[in-house]
Amino acid sequence: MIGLITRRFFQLILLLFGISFLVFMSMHMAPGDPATIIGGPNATSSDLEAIREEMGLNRPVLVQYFDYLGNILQGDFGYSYQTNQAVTEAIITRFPTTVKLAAASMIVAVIIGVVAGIISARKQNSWIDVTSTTFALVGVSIPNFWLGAMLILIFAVNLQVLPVGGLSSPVYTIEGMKELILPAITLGTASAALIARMTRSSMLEVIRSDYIRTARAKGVRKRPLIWVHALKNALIPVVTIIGINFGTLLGGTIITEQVFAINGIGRLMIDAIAARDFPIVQGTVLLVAAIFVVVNLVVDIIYALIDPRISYD
Amino acid sequence: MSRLLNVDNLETKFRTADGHLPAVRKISFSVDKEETLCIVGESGCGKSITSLSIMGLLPSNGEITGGSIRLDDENLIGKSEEEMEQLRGNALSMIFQEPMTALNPVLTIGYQLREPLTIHKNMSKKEATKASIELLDKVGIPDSKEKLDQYPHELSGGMRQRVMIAMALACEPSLLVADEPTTALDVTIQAQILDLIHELQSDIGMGVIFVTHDMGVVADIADRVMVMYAGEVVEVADVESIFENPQHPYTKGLLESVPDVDDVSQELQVIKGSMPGLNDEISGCRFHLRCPFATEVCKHKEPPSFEVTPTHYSKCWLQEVNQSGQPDTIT
Repeated sequence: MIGLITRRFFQLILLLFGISFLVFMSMHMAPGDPATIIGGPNATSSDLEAIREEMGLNRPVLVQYFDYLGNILQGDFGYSYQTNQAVTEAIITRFPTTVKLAAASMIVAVIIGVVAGIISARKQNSWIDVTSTTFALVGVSIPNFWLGAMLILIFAVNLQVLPVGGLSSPVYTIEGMKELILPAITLGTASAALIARMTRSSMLEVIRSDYIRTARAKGVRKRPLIWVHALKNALIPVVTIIGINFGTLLGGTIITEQVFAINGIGRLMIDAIAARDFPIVQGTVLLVAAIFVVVNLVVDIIYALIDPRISYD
Repeated sequence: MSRLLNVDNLETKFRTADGHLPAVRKISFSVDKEETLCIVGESGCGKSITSLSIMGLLPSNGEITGGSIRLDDENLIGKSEEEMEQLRGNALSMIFQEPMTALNPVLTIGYQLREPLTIHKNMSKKEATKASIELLDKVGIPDSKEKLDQYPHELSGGMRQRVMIAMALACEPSLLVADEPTTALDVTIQAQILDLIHELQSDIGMGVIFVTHDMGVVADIADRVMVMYAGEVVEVADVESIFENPQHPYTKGLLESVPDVDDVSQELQVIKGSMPGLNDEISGCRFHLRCPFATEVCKHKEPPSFEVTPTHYSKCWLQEVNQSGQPDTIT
């Protein structure tokens, strides 16, 4: 297990090098010049030249990259072109909001998805199953922004039971919970649908397996049969889906954060891309990449906990 | 000896895209206490479905459509799932063919062994653990205490089958259904497992239904033999009569297709053709298309079960010929 974690840690570092290079290059190749944004509409060409000179933007790209890399290794991710705020600080202030949103969505998705999947599999081809699989299909098909807009329209504008947007109150307050409901459903629906489908098919396969028949031959009652004998086996592929989804959720809150006016990493990233704020874009992309790797590591560790046949030693 | 299990006119069908197809066609048989009945036949003859019917463990598209299964004079057909749960693993136990997949890979041996004891005997975890260690000792598993914390993948196939047997016998069932429990094991392990089942059978005094297609195994453990073909029982007799005086042409075919290691010059006989599918309706005797002795009557009229001796029955028209004093045509 420790070997696995060490291995993954070195993989992560290599991966981050690669990603930092790709992001750096693609940002510099993209049209748009940060100097014009910093200088504003009235800047003269000599002003712009001065800005480029000051920020080192007119040096060769590779020199700029290695410069950046050197700074990263010292923990310096640069400063925002727009606000002059340190990138690390910008991320640290926004990250908890995104984690809160992603975690809430994941909890919604896992509870709904796993329970719906199990019920569907238990009552295969019944009306419950048909309803649940239909919802799952609709759920993966609905675009986030549309679902978010519709939820706002129904619950915030017409019924006026939940707030339109924002995510600033602490979670443990009623206000904070209310703020979280709509964005969490918006972001979690697709994952819930995916998890439900995966749980259903995995469960159906397990229910037909020899060891479930053995358990029944011993007289094991229905409940322990499903929740002890079958579920643990059926969860192995589901954990993969949950892991991949959690990474996507953390990195993919962009649209939901836009729709609900939530100041998280997603909004930080999209605003930075629009403003050619290179340091912020690079910092947030590196963060998302690191999260993906860490989540995958956690998934691998959970595998070993669920399935005794998997060992990393 | 009193009858332990009485199966009467059992019919099991499968719902498929082609309609309801009978896999077991109105078969009747019985098992006594302490008796071993071997059900023999080739793949697809309905022997496994017969045993699953008794256990109430048919796949979801299978159902018993007629007849009765009486265990200690209690009809199992029509019992609710809850009532069957109370019987299974308790009075009625089963061991399966594939020890590699029949144990749950994510639960410890200990957990799986304790289950029947905690369910049926109301034992506490501590009592069940103690009983489990004794059970593992009984089925010949060394270091039984350590084995409880291990997972199935850490054990060999033979060891896993011993664990299966320990699980099945935990509550000292009156009837054990063994569905080809030694088929997946190598020959030396097979002999050990057969000895073990035999030994425990006399300890507990249980009846055993042993499903196999291996005539060597039959010779080793059977008291009586029931030969099945295409969903029907074609011949039943005590084990000596089956080997020394087989009556049904199919039984003879089965016996002739067993190689004899002492006879190098032996040419192995085969039964021509293949078993009919579930949905093949065959008029008359279901074996007549493959039978070298088939006559006109076999093609049109289904034979009844003829009594050869009071313990030996054969479902073949040739018996009628024999019994009516005509020359014996099958030798």
